[in-house]
Amino acid sequence: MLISLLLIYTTLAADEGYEEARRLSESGDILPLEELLPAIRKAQPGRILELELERKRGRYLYEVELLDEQGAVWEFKIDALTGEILQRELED
Amino acid sequence: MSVLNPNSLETRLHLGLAFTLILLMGLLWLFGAKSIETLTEDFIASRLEHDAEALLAAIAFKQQGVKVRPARVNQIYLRPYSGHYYVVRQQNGAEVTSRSVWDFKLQIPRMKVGESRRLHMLGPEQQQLLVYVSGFRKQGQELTLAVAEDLLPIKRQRDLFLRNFALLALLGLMVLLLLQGMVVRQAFRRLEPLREEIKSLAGGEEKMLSEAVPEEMSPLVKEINHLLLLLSRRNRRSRNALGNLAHALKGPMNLLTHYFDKSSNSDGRMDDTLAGQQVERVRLLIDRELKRARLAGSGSTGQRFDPQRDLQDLLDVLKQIYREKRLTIEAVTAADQPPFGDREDILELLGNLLDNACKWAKGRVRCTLSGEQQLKIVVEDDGEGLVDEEVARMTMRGSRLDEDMEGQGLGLAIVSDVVTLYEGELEFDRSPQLQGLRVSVVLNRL
Repeated sequence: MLISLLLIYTTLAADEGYEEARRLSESGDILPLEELLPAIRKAQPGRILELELERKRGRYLYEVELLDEQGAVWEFKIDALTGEILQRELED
Repeated sequence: MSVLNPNSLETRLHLGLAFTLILLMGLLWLFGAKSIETLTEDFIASRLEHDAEALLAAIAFKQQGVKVRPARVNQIYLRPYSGHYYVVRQQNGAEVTSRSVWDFKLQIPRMKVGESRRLHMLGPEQQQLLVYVSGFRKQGQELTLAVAEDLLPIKRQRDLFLRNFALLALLGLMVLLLLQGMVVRQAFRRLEPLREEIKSLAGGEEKMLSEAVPEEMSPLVKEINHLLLLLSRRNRRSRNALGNLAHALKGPMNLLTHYFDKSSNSDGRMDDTLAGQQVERVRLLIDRELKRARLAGSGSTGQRFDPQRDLQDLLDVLKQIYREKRLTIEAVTAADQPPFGDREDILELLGNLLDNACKWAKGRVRCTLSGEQQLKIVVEDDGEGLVDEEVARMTMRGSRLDEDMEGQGLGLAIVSDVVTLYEGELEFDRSPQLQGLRVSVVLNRL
């Protein structure tokens, strides 16, 4: 019961992530997503499948899942304030 | 095909048809493009309208405001920057957006209840959004709902289609122009027999044009035939008049000739001899005119000189006349030497030249005919020929040579007449092969 409640909470939290992102980009704590995307697209063209905003050790990170033309899914981690690509890998 | 000649009917037809075809294709393309644009936009707008209603159904009111139940809306509204967005604007100005909007700011105008609009605006990453905005009231709350879709993917499809359509239209246009060119040329080919007929008309082989021509040409052909009829009547009348005159003059001229013959015989006065010569000349001219008038009457006027037939006849006659001399008379001419000029003119010219050659020849005479656009006649004999001074003198005098040729017994007056008539050239020299006189004549086609 608790686990299921917790699950609901986390999915809800993930859903609310974008509203958090909006507040942060309005206050200037992170860059707007539109300004971050070109760097990722430059590294790997594709369509966004999923996007999550995470906070780790005081840094805001975007975790981006990208679908390329060949049908492969890429995962990126990018610093939401500087736009620096931290991690790039093909998802298994 | 005379493409650049503005005076050609063919060119005008080509240009006119090409212009209308291009216009038609262009209009078709514009109409197609406009139709597809409206159609796709209407289609997407109606889908957006349905999504707006589904969104309205998914809205629940909580303490903190409006909440959209995620299970009740399409997944596409959850994926960031998916191209499908919604914004719910509440009475107090607070907004709830779909997750797909992420942190992008969509400016949505406020709508009154029952009011709706279609807008175009730029979305994230330059997406071209079609936005359906509408005002609703739910549970006493006034809401403005905006549902948007990115038009770029469908626009890309549409552009591709329009480009292919344009290429196809261009191809079709070219094929049509080609076909049309063939049709036009085919139509003009029907005029070819008419042209041939007119050509043979000039050659005197026909008297009238056939009236079995395309309808458009019929009035022209009838007019030409009418003119031909008038012309031939007038021609005959004037020839008859000339003939009559010549006939009427013949009697008095004979008397005069007789008189001068007698008087020159008796006292041998210079004036009388000269006058006698002139009278003789006038008499010859009258004879010639009478002959022409007779020919006109017999209807063979305007016939062309046919080397195959006429030359042989002429040679037969000459062989008959000079039977005693046992001459070898050769005719050198190609088997397909085309007909040339007026039959009577050429026969007179050839007759005189050959008669002359036969008169002076010892045993051989050769006549060579050649040329297509011009007729080249060479008559050679193996007689004494002319000494070089005589040749030079005759060549120098050029067209005035007829004046005293008669005195030389060469009978070249008529030859000279004909050469002048055909704007040709006349030359005398010594035949390299037969060693006698060589006369070369070049006649131009009239």
